[in-house]
Amino acid sequence: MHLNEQELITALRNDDEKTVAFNRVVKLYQQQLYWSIRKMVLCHDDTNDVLQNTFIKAWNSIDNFRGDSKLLTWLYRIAINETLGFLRKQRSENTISLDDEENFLAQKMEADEFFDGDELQLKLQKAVLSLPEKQRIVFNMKYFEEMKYEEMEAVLGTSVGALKASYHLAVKKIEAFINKE
Amino acid sequence: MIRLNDLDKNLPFSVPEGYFDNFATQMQQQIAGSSPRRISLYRELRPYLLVAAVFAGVLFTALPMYRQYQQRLSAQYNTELISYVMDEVNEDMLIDYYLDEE
Repeated sequence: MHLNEQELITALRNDDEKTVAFNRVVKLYQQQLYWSIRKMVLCHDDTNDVLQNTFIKAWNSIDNFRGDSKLLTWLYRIAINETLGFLRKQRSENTISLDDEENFLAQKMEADEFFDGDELQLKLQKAVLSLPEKQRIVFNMKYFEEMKYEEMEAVLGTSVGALKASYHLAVKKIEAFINKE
Repeated sequence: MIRLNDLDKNLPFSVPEGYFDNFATQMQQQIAGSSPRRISLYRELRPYLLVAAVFAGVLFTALPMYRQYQQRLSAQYNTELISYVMDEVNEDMLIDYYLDEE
């Protein structure tokens, strides 16, 4: 089934085609969403949980999708909300403050069997972890995913100017962190 | 000095073999037979109804209080007006007035 975005949205609104169309959506966007979540939660098992919740939430609210934005933009928004919700829950369940979260996540990442980075990659990930949560999202989207600022604006609801400033600042902080020792 | 552009952009993460194929199948099974939850009109309108209810509550509580306040104010004004007039009018004036009327 090869459908363009508009045909896919039309199929999602049709009760007879909805399930098949949604499975297509999962296949189309699972990898992009997975990597976006993984860069934030770092551990594979947690990413898997958040990704599942993202698609379940999308399925449950598919009738509310009006098509004002792209399907992927809408899915990204759900994924970000789910990710931030997961991190918040993880902090409260493990009684971790925002300051300690950096070390907690770094330890979890290093212990994960699906982490296979060298020393410099580990340092880069730790530098990214040192950023505030929202700035991490901005940095990941721009640096790793190479998203356009306009696309990021549609997902995050933050102006292009503010996103540029946030990214610029993030790059400075990360370079300072890497060159620290 | 290491610049960000000099670094390898590849992520140091991997996934279990066949993960994405399995994930799609797993999701397919999870949603098969389950219809998307339809949000009822009540649930959609609930926030607006809540605001309207709070507004109505405030209005119903405040309106009688406002009326009472107005009545009190008006009674107080009347009393003050009468005492003001009485202060301004002396007895001689009143006697003259009644005599003129006769």
